[in-house]
Amino acid sequence: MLKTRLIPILLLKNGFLVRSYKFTRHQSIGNPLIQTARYNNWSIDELIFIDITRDDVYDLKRDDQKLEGVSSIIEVLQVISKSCFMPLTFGGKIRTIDDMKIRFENGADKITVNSVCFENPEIIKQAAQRFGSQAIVVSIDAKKNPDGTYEVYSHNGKKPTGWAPDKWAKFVEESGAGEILLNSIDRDGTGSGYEIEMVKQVVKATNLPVIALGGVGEYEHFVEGVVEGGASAVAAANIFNFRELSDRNARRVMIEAGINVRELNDYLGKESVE
Amino acid sequence: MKNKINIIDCGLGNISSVKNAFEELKCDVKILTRADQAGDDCRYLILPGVGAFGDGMRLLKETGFDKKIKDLVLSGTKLLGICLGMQLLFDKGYEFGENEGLHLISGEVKRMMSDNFGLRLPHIGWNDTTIVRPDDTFMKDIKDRSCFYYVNSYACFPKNEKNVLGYYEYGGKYAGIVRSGNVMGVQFHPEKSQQTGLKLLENYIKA
Repeated sequence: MLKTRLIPILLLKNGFLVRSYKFTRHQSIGNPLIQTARYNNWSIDELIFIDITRDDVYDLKRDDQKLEGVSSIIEVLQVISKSCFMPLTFGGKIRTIDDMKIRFENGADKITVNSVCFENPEIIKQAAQRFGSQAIVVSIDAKKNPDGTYEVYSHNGKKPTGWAPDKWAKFVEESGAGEILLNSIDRDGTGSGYEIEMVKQVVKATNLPVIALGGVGEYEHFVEGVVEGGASAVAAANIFNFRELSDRNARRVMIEAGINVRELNDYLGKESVE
Repeated sequence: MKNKINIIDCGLGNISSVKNAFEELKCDVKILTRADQAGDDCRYLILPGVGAFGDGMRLLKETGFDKKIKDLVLSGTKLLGICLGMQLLFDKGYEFGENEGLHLISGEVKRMMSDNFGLRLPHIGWNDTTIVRPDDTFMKDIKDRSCFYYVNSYACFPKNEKNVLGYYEYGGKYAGIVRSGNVMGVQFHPEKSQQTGLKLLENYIKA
């Protein structure tokens, strides 16, 4: 049977791995290559990298964690993909078909796009024709309005788009997207659990696999995303960065809840590194 | 001596992860973009690919690989088709119209029946693979019900059961691993299936 996927998200900013809180505060927490090596040894299902580099956000800079000799996001991707034998999705700052091409050529299996789909909705179709739908993940960031409805925001959660996430998901599916990464801006970094109602609405509206993101603080939140939300995959960032053996423990909690995930004895990989 | 792995790159999607995987296995990798680049020393040939069946065959014909692959297989070259590459090994595909395949393994490629069971397509993610011929050298040390990473909406339906080494289930049973002599095919992406996938690629070299 097809497994429910458990996916760590790595947010990159100026070459650092960062944690994010409600899309507004970012704190550097280390070197992405060290973290990727650890995930590889854990035999993780899949990884998603998002480059959120921009200049107007509060940033706790730690020069000791900066990567030596790796100056661009493409070089980061290159180095990671050489020793990472799981599906890699790369996103952030993608504006053109050429931006996608260079990422595929340097080791990405899928790319994820967000803001550009509002500037140029045709790009989803063009990308799907060029690289195949399976390689195009559309990332949707949404917030709850005071009246309880949801609205999609583009440009790192800053620009309201007027689209409801379920309608937008349907639109991108028809344009040729292959998967949806659904993030809640309100829940980002809070540890309060997924925005389940929104996940449900989007899962209902589309036939594409939906990856739920935003808000995981306890392993039980992954279970909620699958059982209540109906997500095909569950993703998180902080919990994987800050907890020991988080992947295995999350998997164990999911198995106990009856969710069909890759089992721990599937692992031929080495024991985790420090 | 290092084994030299030839990977066909005729525009059927990204091949860098297949290259990385064989390099991890300490092989020399040569990328072929045209059929005439395949030398006499081409003993290992990989046909990776994502996309639609018809486009795939068109690109193989345009680059001369359709004929070259068959010649090399006849001369004993070990061929491994990955994902769309596996599907192209068959006689016929029905994705966007009817198209002839390479006729290296008997059977057809048709859309999966999963939507009849309320399952989402494409079939994306890790799925158990039941090994029906554990004694085959290609399957050495691959545990029954190993998980591999799949991405497909169409599936292979081999005519002869004996060509099927392993299958997966997703609203029906489908051939996941096939073999006919020196022609092998896998529907999943071994290069993206962690240690189990690398083990399978190692088996291919030794099989």
